[in-house]
Amino acid sequence: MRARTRRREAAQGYLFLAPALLLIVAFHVWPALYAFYMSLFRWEIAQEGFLGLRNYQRLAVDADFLRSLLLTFVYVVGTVPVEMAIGLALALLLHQRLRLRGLFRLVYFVPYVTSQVAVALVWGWVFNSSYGVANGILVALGQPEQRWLLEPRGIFGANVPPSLALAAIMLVTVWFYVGFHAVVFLSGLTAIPEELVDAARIDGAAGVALFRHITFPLLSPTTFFLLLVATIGAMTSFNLVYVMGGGGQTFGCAGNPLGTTQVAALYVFDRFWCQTQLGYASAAAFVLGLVVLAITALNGRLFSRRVVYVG
Amino acid sequence: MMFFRTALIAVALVASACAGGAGPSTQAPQPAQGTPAPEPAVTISFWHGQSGVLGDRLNDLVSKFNASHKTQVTGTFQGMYDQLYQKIVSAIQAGSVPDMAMVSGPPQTAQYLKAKAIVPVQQFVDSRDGFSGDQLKDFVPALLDDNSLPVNGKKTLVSWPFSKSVALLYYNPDVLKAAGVSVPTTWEQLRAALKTVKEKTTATPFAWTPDVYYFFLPYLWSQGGEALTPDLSKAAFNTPEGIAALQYQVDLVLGDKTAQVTQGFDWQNPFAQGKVAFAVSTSVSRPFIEQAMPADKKFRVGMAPLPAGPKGAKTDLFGNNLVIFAKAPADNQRAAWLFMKWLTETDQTVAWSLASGYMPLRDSARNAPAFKAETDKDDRLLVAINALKDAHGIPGSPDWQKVQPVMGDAITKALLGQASAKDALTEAEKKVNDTLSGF
Repeated sequence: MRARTRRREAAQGYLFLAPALLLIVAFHVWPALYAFYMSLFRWEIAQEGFLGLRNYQRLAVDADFLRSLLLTFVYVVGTVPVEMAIGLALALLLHQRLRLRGLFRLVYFVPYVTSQVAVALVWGWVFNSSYGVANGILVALGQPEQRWLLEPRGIFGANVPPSLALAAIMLVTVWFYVGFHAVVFLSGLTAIPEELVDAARIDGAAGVALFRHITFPLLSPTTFFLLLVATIGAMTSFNLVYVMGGGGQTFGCAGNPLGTTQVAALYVFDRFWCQTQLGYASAAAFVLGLVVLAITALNGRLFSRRVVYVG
Repeated sequence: MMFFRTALIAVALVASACAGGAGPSTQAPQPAQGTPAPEPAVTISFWHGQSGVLGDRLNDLVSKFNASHKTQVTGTFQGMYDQLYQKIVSAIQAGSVPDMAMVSGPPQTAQYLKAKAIVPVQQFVDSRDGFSGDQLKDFVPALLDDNSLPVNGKKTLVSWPFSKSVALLYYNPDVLKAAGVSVPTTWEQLRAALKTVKEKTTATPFAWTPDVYYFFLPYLWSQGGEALTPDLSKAAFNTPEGIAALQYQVDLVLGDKTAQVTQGFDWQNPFAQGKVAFAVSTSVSRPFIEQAMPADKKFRVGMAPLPAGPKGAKTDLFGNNLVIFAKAPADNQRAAWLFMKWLTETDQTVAWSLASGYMPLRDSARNAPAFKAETDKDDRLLVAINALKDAHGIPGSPDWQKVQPVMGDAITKALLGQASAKDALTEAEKKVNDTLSGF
């Protein structure tokens, strides 16, 4: 009788899981498996010869692909910590009893709920090398104009990434996501039990010490969550980079100028849609998926032990 | 009994579905002699990339065809050229292609042909539904060349022309007058004119978004060079002609400082505002420029052929062609051809040209009363048509989409001063040859 009840409960459980599972299988698992299948073939518009793992061997020595992984790394390192740090600072400010606090929260969150393509187009105009506001400000300050999104030269050295074009895109990325980080940090701050803060205050902690020993450790579940989500998001970032990184060519595809904004997701897009190398692009997508998985696992291993849960 | 009847109906349904010809066409087109068979009473699907006013005018043409034919056409806008291409590629993967579609040029046609996704239209041209040799001569030869690719070693019409435009030189006559320069007809004259405009006026002499099509290829062709070898298997641009083509742009940007590099179509508004003397774009850009003109500063947009080199004035052929898919049933393929043929009859090609700014496809269109009335009013329509004889198609290689960005990067590098024209093209040549040789 007990076994029958358990089976019935299990069946009910699977039934509840089924709709979500079906969607995940149809739109994630099956395409991933099919992409792996495609990656084993020479597959341009139509399926051609079986290549085994030769697409993967070619990727390992493809300078453009390796550069796209490096640019992805630069993009992640240059955006995720910065947007998290600014987001945390804003959250701490907004956590104070300020006048118009609600308005400030709204203002910082607005970019996040705006269409990324619209944001990218507007910022593209700001950084337009001929007529943009950015150059207008530079000229007003007596500085030379810049080519911004057309500039492949690096900001730290001619051939050292990020290029000025990618750096401009990274700046917009930070601007876009800061509000999201601030709001999530704010909810984390609200969840910190008041009695712990009060106890620390009675013990004499205040200011930086209070933040360092009480607030920051107790925010760690939020920080960890944001780190994972932001890293995965940045590693697979597409919309902002694609629209802003058009690079000016009328007939260009993804990642101009000179490929210096071609992060890994754009590389996959470029090889798939612009060069119609469907099999090869699938191999690149599969490798990118594995890299994201590995970095996520590494993040978990490095930081999960430092996460403090209260309650 | 009930079961037996149901089974019988099911078998009949399956059989009729098979007979309906859902699979690839096996029926050969009819031979050239004799009376054509009756028009098939089928509905065909046509994917295109025309939106806005052009989409409305195309729909008008489709409606006109539907009103007078047994064949019915359902035209669907599938996005601009890039999205249309992506949808066709996806449809090929899914095995559910339309009967016919627009295609944005020979490289994409070559890809579809290589994948055996389309049927060459030559078989319909040669059939009883097609054209006699004399009738075919009415079409502009450059356009038929643009739609021909080698099939089994023989030059074959694989697609059919529809909306065609060429690259032209745009100029502001007021600025030219102020500078005292006339419209240049050679590359050297253009360079000299830009210098004079710089010296004598406050206008930007030349603004453009450099890429393979805007100046590199026309200059290269005008010197007698080519982008790829005749068999399309290797790069052919790293030659004295290619280096001269790239050096010319480097001289304008870095040497004379008479050319401003823009992004996308960003040259268009300043040109429309009268701040730029020369620009380069396709022949369909004029309405866009005129729309962008301030009401109090309108001027008559000047249009001229691209400058000439030792081998004459050459220009790129842009726009779109039409293809018929191999998976379409035979009747639908034939219906698609009949629709294409109708679309390019003199009356329709004139109507489409006047509505869209694309060029008429036939010589007879020039003398059609409706067209002549327009060209009598505004002779600029003839500039593009006259340039057609010098038009050069984009190389019909299925790998062109891999080649073009490499050449684009070489141009960018040289214009930034990161490499000499020679070094940039040498690097690009190696990369292109690696790409074209496969893995």
